[in-house]
Formats: sequence, structure tokens, C-alpha cells
Amino acid sequence: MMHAIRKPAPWTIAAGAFALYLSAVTTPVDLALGAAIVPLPLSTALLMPALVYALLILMFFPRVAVARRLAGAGLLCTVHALLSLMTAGLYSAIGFFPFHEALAQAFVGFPPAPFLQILLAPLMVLPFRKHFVPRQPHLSERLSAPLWEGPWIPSGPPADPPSSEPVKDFVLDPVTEEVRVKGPEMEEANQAPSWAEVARLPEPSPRPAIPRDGAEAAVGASARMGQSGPGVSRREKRPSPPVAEKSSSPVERPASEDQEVPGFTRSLRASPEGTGRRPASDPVKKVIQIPFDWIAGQLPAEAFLIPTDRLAARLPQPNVLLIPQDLVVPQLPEGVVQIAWEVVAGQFPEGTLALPHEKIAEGIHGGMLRLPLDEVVRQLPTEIFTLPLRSAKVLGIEAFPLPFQPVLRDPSVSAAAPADSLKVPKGDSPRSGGLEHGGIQRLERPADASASKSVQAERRTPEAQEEEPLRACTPATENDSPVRPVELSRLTIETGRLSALLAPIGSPKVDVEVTAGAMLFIVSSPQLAKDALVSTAIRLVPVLADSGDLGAIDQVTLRASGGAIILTPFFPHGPGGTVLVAGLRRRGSLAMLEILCRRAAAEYRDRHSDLLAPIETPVRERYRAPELRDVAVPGQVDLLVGSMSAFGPLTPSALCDETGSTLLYLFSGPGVEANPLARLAWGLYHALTIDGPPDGLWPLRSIALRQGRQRIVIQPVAGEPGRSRLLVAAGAKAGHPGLAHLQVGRAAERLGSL
Amino acid sequence: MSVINHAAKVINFKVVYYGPGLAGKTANLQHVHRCLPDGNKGNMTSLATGDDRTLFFDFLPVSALTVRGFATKFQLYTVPGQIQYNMTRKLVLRGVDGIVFVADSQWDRLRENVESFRNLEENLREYKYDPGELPVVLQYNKRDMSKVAPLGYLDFLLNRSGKRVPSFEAVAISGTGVFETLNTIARMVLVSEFGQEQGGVS
Repeated sequence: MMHAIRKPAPWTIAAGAFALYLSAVTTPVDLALGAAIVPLPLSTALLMPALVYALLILMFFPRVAVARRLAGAGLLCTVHALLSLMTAGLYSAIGFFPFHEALAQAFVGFPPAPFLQILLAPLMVLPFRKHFVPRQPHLSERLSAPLWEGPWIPSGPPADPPSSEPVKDFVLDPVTEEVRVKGPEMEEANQAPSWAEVARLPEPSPRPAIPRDGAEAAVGASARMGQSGPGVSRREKRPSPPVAEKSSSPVERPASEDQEVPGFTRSLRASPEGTGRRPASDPVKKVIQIPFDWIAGQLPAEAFLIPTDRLAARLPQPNVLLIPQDLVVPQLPEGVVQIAWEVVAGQFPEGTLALPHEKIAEGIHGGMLRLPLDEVVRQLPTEIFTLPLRSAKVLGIEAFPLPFQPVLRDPSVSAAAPADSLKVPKGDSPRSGGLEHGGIQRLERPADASASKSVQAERRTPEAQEEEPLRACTPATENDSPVRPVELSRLTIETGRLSALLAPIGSPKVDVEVTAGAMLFIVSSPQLAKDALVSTAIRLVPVLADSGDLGAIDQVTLRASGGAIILTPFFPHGPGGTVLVAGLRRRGSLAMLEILCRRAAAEYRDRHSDLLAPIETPVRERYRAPELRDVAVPGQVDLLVGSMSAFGPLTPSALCDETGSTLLYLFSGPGVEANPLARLAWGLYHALTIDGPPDGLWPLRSIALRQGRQRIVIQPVAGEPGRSRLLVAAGAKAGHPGLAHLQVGRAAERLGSL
Repeated sequence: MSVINHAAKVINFKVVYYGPGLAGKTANLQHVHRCLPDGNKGNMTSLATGDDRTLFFDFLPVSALTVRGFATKFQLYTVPGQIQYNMTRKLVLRGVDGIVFVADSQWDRLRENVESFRNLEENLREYKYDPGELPVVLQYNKRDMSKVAPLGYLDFLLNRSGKRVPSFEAVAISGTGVFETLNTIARMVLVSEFGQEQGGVS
């Protein structure tokens, strides 16, 4: 404070104000000499300044203690009196009046003088206000102050403390384990210990001792970090919680409040807390105890000169380290509590550490020591975790019955199974080789892949019990998971990669949509609405998943008057999950886009070969084909076989659904079964029509499916109102897909004209 | 938000199971799928990596009761819990009607719970959803493990935004608490859609 008063700025301001006053108070007297001036009443001249100053103090320093206010008012009155005396001296020196008359003029006889003094006194004192009134932090500073800041680790050389440092009084309340620092020395005590102080810490007493030095260091570090969160004040108000009673850590506590502790007796005796009374003005610091082993495990192994068990016994509080609660509480909402090495460094006795403190701090993983949250929470009162929130009751839910009622199942299904008894069903097809239970299916994973508990549980299905045993699987753990450091989101990478793969058609933008249980990577031309693509895709994808005996479909190309859409499932053997949906307004580069999409899907599969294939996409019952019956093949249809040479040899057939509303003319090549083919065609067509055509695309012209080298083309046949007719051609030879499509189109036209 | 098909008299609701990785979101859906009658469930879609970590999402459509002549269907989704997959989480959250936050009760997973919950709030704000208005249920999973945090502290960590939301203890792998959670979020969604008047539940 004295250093601050010696600053020149306040004095310069005061001197300037005083000079202005002198000129102001002299000039009017000079002008008014000889004039009749009415003096002020004496009472007014004496009381008015005091009242004005008191009002000023009240107005501008509302939160200052009464004693300070009185002192301030007194100071202003004193300055006022001094100014009056100096004014009188000035009048006398200039020769206006003799001194005794000038004194009267300065106080009461010449009214402008006291008014100017009332004005000047605050002006002169104002520059020094910081030194008389404790500065309150600005509101913005308080709001922006973080609840928790990382600790400051000193990096420079240690500074020697003053040699004549007084003994500080710290008191540990034996009941509450609160470390209290006596008021007059609080400021010094709350300074963090320098490394030199830390190094001079005394050896602990052989008997259990109150952790004077450790607590001092911990409290000091806490104070330096500026902890003043709301949790602290709330905690200080609560009535002495029995923190230690709740702790099960092996800490011996004094038997009673009056017990004297070696090495600390003098302070204890000198303090009124030794009697158990606590002055209201004493700051209270509470600590929690953390097992030393927990902290030691996070420190560099080479940090200690002696074995950790011996070091633990030599700690000020054997086997535990003390952490101020005000460091811990603000971190509780984070789900993790960390402290700096500095907080506990002072509790290590001299000669036990092999490394300098800076090296130890650098050797801590992440720079912070993580505290055991269970220990921390256990030692804190439960009211800290009580939040004043409204009730969790949700009004009105009782009006609805329980929407879902589980059915009882065999409890063994969910029980953990011995790994060596797990079974998988036999089978040849990709689907039957997987694990199936109640609709959940997973394709067979690589032999070295691990399995989670949930999958193990799934495997204990009754159907699987009699199958061949699966080799032992190890449950996956967090450490086993191949989580790679990914800077960008995986989806960003995927969309970027797809865009690059499709670059020959102009590096289109790739969007991602999650809907109806499928993830769609959508590539669309600007003229084609994305909604139309999504709407079409979510209708067709479930039908593709239900292709049944026909086998997996690699790609679907839908041509309509409004554009063309290509669907390429990334996993053809389980078409749900991820699908690449590409749309084109014009069909000029359709063939190239088909090729690029297949390449992209293959590349995706290669990169994600460790993925389990998707299980299934929900199949909409109403898109599922009904039973179809054979009908007689019209003679005109037989004649069309020869016109579709691009498919190779074909066999004509005709099927109709139960209601007769859909008639399918089939031209199937060798090895292609007519009925599954017809069911797939029926499902695809009705998926597109049953809920109305997708916006912006209709009318449908054709649907082309690629299945390996096989090509399937579905073409609506016009001509019969109220009845749908489809021409379906499927052949193994698809060397000329363009020609095949053209021939089917011509055949459909001829059928429609018949 | 909910999708109403007036022609088919069906309302579709979207419920997302959110939470940190390995908290048990997929286990919840698997149990629901296992225990619901066949007529009330569709097939479950799941895309997982070789170690059974959810890659994109899990999906399970389930049908519930009929309210005011409309069949209610719930599409249950999970999200990938791993931190780096936030874009996927945001995609799955689009149009959400209710959220089940599945928290891992173990002490050493609490930080991940808090981060995931904050990520949820952040993603909801990006969609202009008010986390205080959206139906949310907390599920404290893995209560059968040995080192789990007390419920009071879990509530302190996660149930602290505005008003308290319902929370349940659960062991999803064995089914404990799974249907309590699902039924509560479903009814909260129904209340938010139809109001507190039941009006013709069948």
C-alpha cells in the first residue's frame, strides 16, 4: 500500500486540483472586496461539509464497512479544515485581510470559499481511494473467472524465503479435519510454499501427527489457485460434517480436541481453536484424504529415493495425502478430479524425492494427478450433490398404459455362456452361416475376431445348442478395440472418398441420410431433388433385402421420365445398412455412373472387411409379394423370345397374383427360377407404386438389376387400365447391357400394342 | 419429429439411445428385440465392427398401442458412442422425438458420460431442439458391476439441466430396467404428442 501511495500520479492530480482551487478562491475575493457580502451562519459552515461528505461516502462506497466510512468522512473533514487554514493563510499573505480576519473569511465570511473547499476536498482525496478502500473485482472479471484453472508450476529458480518468517498458526479440527489458518497471518499463509520452503519441511514426528506442514502446503497451493467456487461457500456454511467418520481410509485421528500433537503444541496452545471454539472470522480449509498408493502410481517410478511403503509411513499424515476440498468440489460436475503435483509436493519429507519437482511434474501423464473419484465422493457430504431441481415426475404419462410388454423367454438366453459351449449353425449360404435368433442375424465373423458378451448371449439360442462348438472367444475390452486416431470424422472421410471415386462424373457432393434403418450415401445432380432419391431408396432397399432365393442384388438402376437412380448396396449379401444412391437428371453418363458406383462399393467393402455385414433391413409386409400362380403364356409372348437375343437363350412364362391385378411375363435364362424372379419384380414395382410414385420421377420406364454377370430388366407394359403388366427378362449373358435394355423396351412396346 | 401417415393411420416416433461408447445402448435394443412379441417388432438392423462396436447405428422398429385411431410405431435407434463419430450421431438425431441417455455407472467411465451428455446437448442445440423440452430419460446401466457410482452422484452429473428427468437403474445385458426405460420414454413421447389427455387408447 505504501508503495502505491508513493506513486506520483495521485499527487499530481491533487496538486493540480489544489492550484485550481487557490486561483478560484482568490479571484472572487479580489473582485468582491468592498462589496457587502453576507457571511454564512457558523452552524451551516460547520455542518454542511460534514453532511456532504457523509452523503458522498454513502453514495459511492455502499459496501464498505462502517468504520471505513467514518474514517473516510473524517479524512474529508480534515482536508476541508486544512484547506480553510491554507486559504486564510493565503488571504493574509496576499494582504487582503489580517490573519484572524482572513480565518473568519475562509471559514464563513466569504461563502464561495467553503463551497469550493467542499468541492476540492473530495477531488483531492479521490485519486487515493484505491489505497483506502479494498478493491472489489469487476463483475466481468468475476463472471469470467474459471471455476477451475490448471495449477501454476513454477519454472524459475526457487526464491529464498525471508529468514525471519514468523510461525504461522494452523489448526486442524480433530472432528471435522478442517485446517484453519489464523486470521492475521492468513494472507501470508495462503501463499503457496516456494520450493525452498518445501525443501525445508521438517521431518515428521514418529507418532501420528496432525499434518501441519502438509496441510499448510496444500492449503497454500489451494489459495494460490484462487479457488472460490460456490461449492466452497456452501460447504463452509454447513454444520461441521463428520467427513473423517465417513472415510474408511486407514488414518489415525486424535482422540479428542484437546489432544496435543508433538511439533504443533505451541501453535495449538496459542490459538483459541485449541479449545474447540472457532472465531467467525477465521478462514476454514477442509481437506480430503487420498491414499498415497493411488498418487504414487501416477508418479515417475524414479521419483523416490526410498521405497514407497516407507515413504508413505513418513508422510505428515501417514499413508495419505491431503487435498483441499476447494480444489476438488468445482471439478465434481466433470466426472473427474485432477490436481497438480504442486498441491501435494509440500507433503513429501525432505530427502525422499530423487528428482526435482519440475521433473516430477513433467513426468506425470497428462501433467495432472487423477484422484480416485470414489474416495473423493465418499468423503464429501451428500448435500453437495443435491441440486435444487424440479421433480422428475412427468405429468400425464399415467394416462397411457405401458406401450411395451415383454414376453417371458428362456432365462438361459440372456445368461452368460461358457465360451467353449457356444455353437453356430451349419450352412452353406452366407446367411445361413451366421448366427440367427428371432430375426437378429450376423454374418460369420473372421476367425480371429473377438465377441462381446451380448453376442455370446445371442449365441446361446436353443437352435444353436446342437451345432458344432465355436472356439473360445474373448470379450472385447476398451483396450482391445481398434480405435484409431482419426482427425476427421469417419463420415467426412467416407463422403470425401466417394466423391473422389466418382470424380469422372464431376466430383459430385455426397450427402448422408439416415432413415428407416438405412444409411444412404446420396449423390445427386442439381436438377434432381434429393428427397426423390431418398424416397425411392427407402422403398426399394427393403425389397432388395428380401430377394430371397434369387440371391444378392449388386445394383439397381431405375429409369423414369424425370431421371435415373442407381442404388448400389455396399454389402450385397445383406443389402440393409449402407447404400450408395446416385441420381442423374440426364441419362447420358448413366453407364459410367453405374460402373463407378460398383467400384466405390467394392472399394468400401475392401476397406471395411472387418465389418460384420448388416443384419437385415426391415421388410415392409405390404411390399412383399403374395403367392403367384402360373398362367398360360399367350402366343404373342412366345414370339418375343427371339427378339431378346442379348440375354441368350430364354424361356417364357407368365405368372399372376391372386387378385389378378398384376400379370408378369417372364423371360428367364438357364438356371433362373421364374417364381423368385417374379416375386422380386412384383415387390420392386409395388414398392414404387403402392404409396404413389416418388415425386419428380414418374412415370417409371424400367428397372434394371445387376446380379454378378446376370442382368434383369423389368419393364412395365402399357395398355390395360386397372391391371399392371410387367415384362421381366433375366439372362446370364449380359455382354451387351445396352442392347438388352433396348430389346426389352421394344418387346414391351409390342406387347402393349397387342 | 413424429411422422404421421394419415392414410395408413400410423404415427412414427423416433427414439434415440444416446451415450458413451460401451455403455450398453445396443444391449438395450437387443433385449427389447429379444423380448417383444413377434407381432410388435420388426427386424433389427445393426452394423458393427469386428469387436462389436456400433459403426453407424442400430435400428429396431417396434409398434405400440393405438391412440385416437392412430397406430403408434417407435423407431429405436442407437448411435456410435465413440467420440470421433459425431457426424453420425448428429445424423441419427435428426427428427428425434425422445432420447434415452444410457450412462455407464462405473466410476472410471463417468467422465465419458459427462462428455457424451454435453455432446448430446450440443448436437440438439444445433438442430434447434430445446433439451429441456424434449422427452429425455436417463438410464444408469451396468449396476451389476462392482465399482459403480451412487445414484446421487450420477444424478448430480447428468440430471442437472433445468428440470429433473426420470432415471432408471439398469443391467441391460440381463434386461433389468430396459423395459422400464423404454416404456417411460415412449409414454413421455406420447404425452408430448397427444397431451396429457389419453383420448382413446386401445
